[in-house]
Amino acid sequence: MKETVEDLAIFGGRPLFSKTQSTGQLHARPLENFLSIVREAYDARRLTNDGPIVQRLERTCAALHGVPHCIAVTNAGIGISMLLRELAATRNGVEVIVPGFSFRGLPHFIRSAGQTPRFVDVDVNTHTLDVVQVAKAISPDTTAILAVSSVHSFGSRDELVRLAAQRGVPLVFDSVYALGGQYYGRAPGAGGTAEVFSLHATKLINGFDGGYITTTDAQLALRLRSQRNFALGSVAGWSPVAGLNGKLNEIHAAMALAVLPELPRVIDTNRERFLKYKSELADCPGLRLLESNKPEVESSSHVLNVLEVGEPWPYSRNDMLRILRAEGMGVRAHYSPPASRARMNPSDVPSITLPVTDYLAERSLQLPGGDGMSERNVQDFGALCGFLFRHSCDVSAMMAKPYACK
Amino acid sequence: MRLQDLAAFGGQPLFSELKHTAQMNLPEWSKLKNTLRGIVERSYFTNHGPLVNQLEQEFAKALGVRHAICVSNGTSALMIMCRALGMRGEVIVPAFTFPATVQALTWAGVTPVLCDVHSQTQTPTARQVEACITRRTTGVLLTHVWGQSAYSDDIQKLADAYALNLIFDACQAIGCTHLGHQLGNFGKAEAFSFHATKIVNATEGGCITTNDDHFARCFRAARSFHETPDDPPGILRMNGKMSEAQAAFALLTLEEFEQNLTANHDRYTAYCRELSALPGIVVGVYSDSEVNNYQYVNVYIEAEVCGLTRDELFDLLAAENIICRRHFSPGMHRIPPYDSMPQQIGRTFPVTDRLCERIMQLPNGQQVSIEDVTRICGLLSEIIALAPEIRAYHQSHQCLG
Repeated sequence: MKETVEDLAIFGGRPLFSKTQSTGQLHARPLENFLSIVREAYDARRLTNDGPIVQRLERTCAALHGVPHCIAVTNAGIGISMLLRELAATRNGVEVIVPGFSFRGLPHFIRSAGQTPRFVDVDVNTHTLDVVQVAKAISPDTTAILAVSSVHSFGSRDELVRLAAQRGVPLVFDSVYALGGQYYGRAPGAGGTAEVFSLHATKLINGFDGGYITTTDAQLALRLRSQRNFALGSVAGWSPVAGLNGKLNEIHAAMALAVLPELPRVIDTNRERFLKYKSELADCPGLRLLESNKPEVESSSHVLNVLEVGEPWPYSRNDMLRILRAEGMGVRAHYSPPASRARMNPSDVPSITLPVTDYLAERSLQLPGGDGMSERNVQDFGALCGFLFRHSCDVSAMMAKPYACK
Repeated sequence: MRLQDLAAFGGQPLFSELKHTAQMNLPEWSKLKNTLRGIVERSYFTNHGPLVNQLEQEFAKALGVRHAICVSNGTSALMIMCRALGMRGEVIVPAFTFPATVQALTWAGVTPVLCDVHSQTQTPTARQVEACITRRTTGVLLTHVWGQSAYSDDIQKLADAYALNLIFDACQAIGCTHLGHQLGNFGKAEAFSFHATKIVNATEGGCITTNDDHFARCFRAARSFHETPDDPPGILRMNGKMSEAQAAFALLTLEEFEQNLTANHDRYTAYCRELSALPGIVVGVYSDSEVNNYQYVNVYIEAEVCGLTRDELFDLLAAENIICRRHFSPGMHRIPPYDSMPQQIGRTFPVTDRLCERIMQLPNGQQVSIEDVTRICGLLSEIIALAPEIRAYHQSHQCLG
């Protein structure tokens, strides 16, 4: 453990972790389950094109979410673009309402669908769309609301559903972080017009990369199935939008199916890790692990632990990023810059200022999680934070001298 | 053979399992298993992993091209290529192509303008392309149909004269050449497919090749949301990443490319030999002076000679578990939403229509043996001999209906 300030890796000391710890779940056990399902695909010589393993995954996920329709797709981003293009086809506008404090890919998914993002600010506690702001933003130009569940909260889901219904606007949930959580005792999946989930390796269900859409709308499900396969085949009474290859392959589906039975255990382990983080940070004023303020209503899978760094903690979020990265922690700035000001936004999407979004984007930090982050690792991290707090004057003074930092 | 011996008329199907047109080449199970095991042990599943990097290097080397950028599928490759080149307005594209060629343009925010093709080359001539150019045209996207080059000096000169981006859909063209040079080196960039139906199989997968360093940076930026200091600003991005599992399949089948090509060629040659005397069924010919991957065994059905239409033959073969394909039928000018676009209204595509009516692909790939080819051709011969009876049967049932 660190004894002097010079022991910190940022000043040339030995890093706390020999291997960089990832923020992602990266769960892939048991390996033999995966290989045996791959063998089915191999023996059947069927590797893609809506194969039996993808169909099995779709049935399993539909049951998990309690919905009649699940459509597996190449990845969640493609799923969102497919949905937005489909929903816009029967409307006149071009705007999709989306939270500013969200993943930097969202403006791209919206532009891919031929739509324009209309960024709206978020609630400071739930980090999800502020319903009052959404109500003001809806216009005849709105083709959809793209609501995003945060890592710790479903937000004002019911109010959004009511508002969207009243105003006749389709509501799509980006539920990537909602997977494994519950809202009023139920799994997400049947909210709004449709919900989109991810099978990226860093998420709760590892399908290498991949995603799926859930919906209760049978016609929409049919149209999406046609769209993901180059709009081949016709859906009665519907003129198709441009199709694409939005298919999930059998090998990715095999991995997702192999890890699905492990889900309850993975969520339990995540919760234990979250609680350990929380207890380790109990004596670190100004460091707050995000958690729901309505635990009686909602729960989370804790697939991602996000730390808010604020006063009286003596270091900024960016200082913490530098210090912790040097120690071998794969920490990342969370939604920073936010989607509403992302440097990588398409050239025709201007940056805008949103007070709550910008405030949160300066203080949020993703912590390592998943199988690679053991209880002992979390304990070491807690001890490091304690050390940083106790030696904040010396550390801050040395960090102010550029030559002192490695 | 009697009519009732055909599966469509109650007989036993010729094959107990399906014979597909797709390549579906698989590596040895033990090699595949070990590679997949390695991915899990490394805990590196996607996001530009080591196998994807290796595949990019090996594919670039195989094609003799500076950059190969692997992506999630061939359609993603086309979409990323169009977006990252900043194409706007209208792009000219053949009507005789797979839907993804045209759909990728729509997803890139570009208006596709369909162009008919030449009856021999099945790709647009420079003159046909020029007739489609308007003030809004910014590019030309041509398809190397059946791995046969769509590039020509005339097309390049036309693109240069009008300052148009010239790019290629090379999804069918892995390992194929133009005047001895590997496709993948022409125009500003080319898009390949590693779909399971292709000779290199990543289950799904694709790749963009280019010799231009700047374009390569644009393509790499556009396929993910991972930021690097080299990224050109303002590009429309997507999650177009290839996973390590996809790369594993592709690397193992790329390793077996030569043997799979030889096997394709052997089957193609067997089809040519067996069908040479059959009236009204003409096997598509590949140039001896170019390398082709022989993924596709095309036959052109002359209904007036063999007595049956392409679709009648297709259905009769399907009943025998011989699953042919009818690429690219119907032509893109007949597929919504492109059939009603103002750019296409009032125009005709007679060559595309004629091709779409006659062409059919016969089974090929690892699961089809030379003996299977002989049996398929033997059956075709029997069916043609029964054509008058089949036709009479259909006519009598139509009358009854």
